[in-house]
Amino acid sequence: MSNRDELNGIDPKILKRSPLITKQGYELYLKMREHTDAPKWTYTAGDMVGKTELKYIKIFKAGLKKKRRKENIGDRPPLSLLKKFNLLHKRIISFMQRVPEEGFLNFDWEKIHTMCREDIAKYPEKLIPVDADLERMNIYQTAGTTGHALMVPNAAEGTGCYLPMLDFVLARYGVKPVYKPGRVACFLIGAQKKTVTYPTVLSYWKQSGFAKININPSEWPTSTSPHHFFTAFKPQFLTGDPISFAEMLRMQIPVKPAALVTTAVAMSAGLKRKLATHYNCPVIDWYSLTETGPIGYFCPKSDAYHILPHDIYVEALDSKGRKVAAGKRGEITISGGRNPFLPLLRYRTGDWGRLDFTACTCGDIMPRIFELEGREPVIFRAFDGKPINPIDVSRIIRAFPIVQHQFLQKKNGACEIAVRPIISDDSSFLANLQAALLGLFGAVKISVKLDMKMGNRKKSKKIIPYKSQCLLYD
Amino acid sequence: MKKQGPQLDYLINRLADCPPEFMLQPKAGKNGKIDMSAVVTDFIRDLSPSPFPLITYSNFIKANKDINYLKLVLLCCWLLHDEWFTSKTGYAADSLKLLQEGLPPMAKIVKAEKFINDAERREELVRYCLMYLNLRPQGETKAHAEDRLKTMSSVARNKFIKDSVQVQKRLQAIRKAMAKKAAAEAASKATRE
Repeated sequence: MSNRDELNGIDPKILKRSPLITKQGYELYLKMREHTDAPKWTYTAGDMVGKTELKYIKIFKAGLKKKRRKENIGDRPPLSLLKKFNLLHKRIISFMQRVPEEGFLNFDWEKIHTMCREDIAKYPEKLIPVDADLERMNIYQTAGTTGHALMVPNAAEGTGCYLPMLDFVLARYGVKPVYKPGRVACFLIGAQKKTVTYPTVLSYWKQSGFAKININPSEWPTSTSPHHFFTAFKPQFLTGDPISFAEMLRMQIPVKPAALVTTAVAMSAGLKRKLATHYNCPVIDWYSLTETGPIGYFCPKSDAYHILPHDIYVEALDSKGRKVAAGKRGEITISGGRNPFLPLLRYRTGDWGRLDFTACTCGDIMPRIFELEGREPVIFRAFDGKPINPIDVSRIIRAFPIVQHQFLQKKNGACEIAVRPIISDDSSFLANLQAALLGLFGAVKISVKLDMKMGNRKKSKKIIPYKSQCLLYD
Repeated sequence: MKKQGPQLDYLINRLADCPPEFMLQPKAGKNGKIDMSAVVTDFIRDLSPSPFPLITYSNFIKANKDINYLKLVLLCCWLLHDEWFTSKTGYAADSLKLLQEGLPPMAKIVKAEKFINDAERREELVRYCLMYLNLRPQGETKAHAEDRLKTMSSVARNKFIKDSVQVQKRLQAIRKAMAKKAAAEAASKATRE
């Protein structure tokens, strides 16, 4: 016990990661961590939410309740957002470069140059306020499933605000989890060769349990361990991506979630039906990007996504940065948000859709995004037919100096990858990249080539990083 | 920018033709060759039909020892000491305001020589001077002139950002912190993206 906090017996390392953890919360944490059938935990993480952050999240929650108004989606951002940008103006290089000294209030909004993933990939430092407290910064590395693998900064209060948004969306589907010490709220499911996994408890959810889990059988003590672990902790709802949920279904893991919240890639209608029938619960599509945080959720009554948070300004733009006419498809572009390290100013998401401002029968007053063309779910197959999640491919690609890539697996298993390196015509790493991919896929043919024009061709600016001719399910 | 001034190209060419003597070292204390007070006095006198209180400009010139600023003052004296301005009345006070208040911030950002050698900078300085004199280039609307000046100013800002050692140091620190933090633990997130 010498390494433990003498006051309440909580490991100081855990207290550092979960500053508001209570004794009861800690007991649940230990129970999950040390359970006989627990998976190999690869990481230690907490919400990093202290009193200040918790207060911030609660204020955000109140705003979510009161400020989700249609007026937030007009020809110009709301005054509150422009004022916020004015305060940031002289502190963010990118803002200074794009908006004259007079500031945002009287400047023509549509004249402001847009930004995109490439800006975050190449010049992240120009997007972070120069006086930001870097000690508070957390870095999230994106999977790169939409083009550039990114390092996205955020703060604990920024990611903490996902929780009230999840609650809001669950409530829209009639799901109201009970948050209390000793009870597990949610498991975040992954089905990958390798990923970060950890158990924790969340202060905003009143010390409820949360775990990030990889259901890959090699991560568990025995083949039945996932089943025992899920049975023991009974997560009230699950978050994950379609591939992981499909794998969970295939493994017949016994779980009775009140909802499945699916993220990362668009879910096909077929899989959605299959999951909803099998688990007898709503399957909720959640539109969120690491760079922007949650943007929308799938409406329970219509075939569209409602804008979720009240503090973002959403536009649909054409390729020249102009708003498209009402009812026309455009690139979903976000301004605002609550990430203190990455305030977004006309951030092009790379996703396309049609903004609709008409009233919705579901009762949510926020505008909708119809025909959202996000990322299609794809799956790759190893030489022996075992599924490979694109995130695993992404993990490999991320280790090389690559700005963008396109990876294709053909029906016969052969793979082709084209990459645009950070340094022009740098082919020095291609052999190592090929070897690393062979390590993941096994004995399949993998060809690697440079493509310096990727993303800059007039006819095919949109890069689809992962394509597969393999079937999503066996 | 209420009134029309001279043609833009005319002034830009005049700036490009600035005699090299104007870029000699201005006198600041005991050093330098150009007598600032004499140049500024001649300039203001030729713009003003009635005697102008010398004290108002000799003081600021004497007080300022920033060589780049003084060079910029010389450059503007050359630019505006043109018949277009000297043949009219009413530009002395605004010109003095330009020298006293308008040029110090610019001098902190860009080297005076750049305003001769760099085409973009030449245009920027011409437009900037005209703005202080409440003029716009001949043939331009007020809106167009304002818009162009904004564009030019943003170029100056970019330049400032690029050149500022302090900003560069901070940007490097951010990059370094990001690399360090990428290897560290992040706060948990409840959903995938």
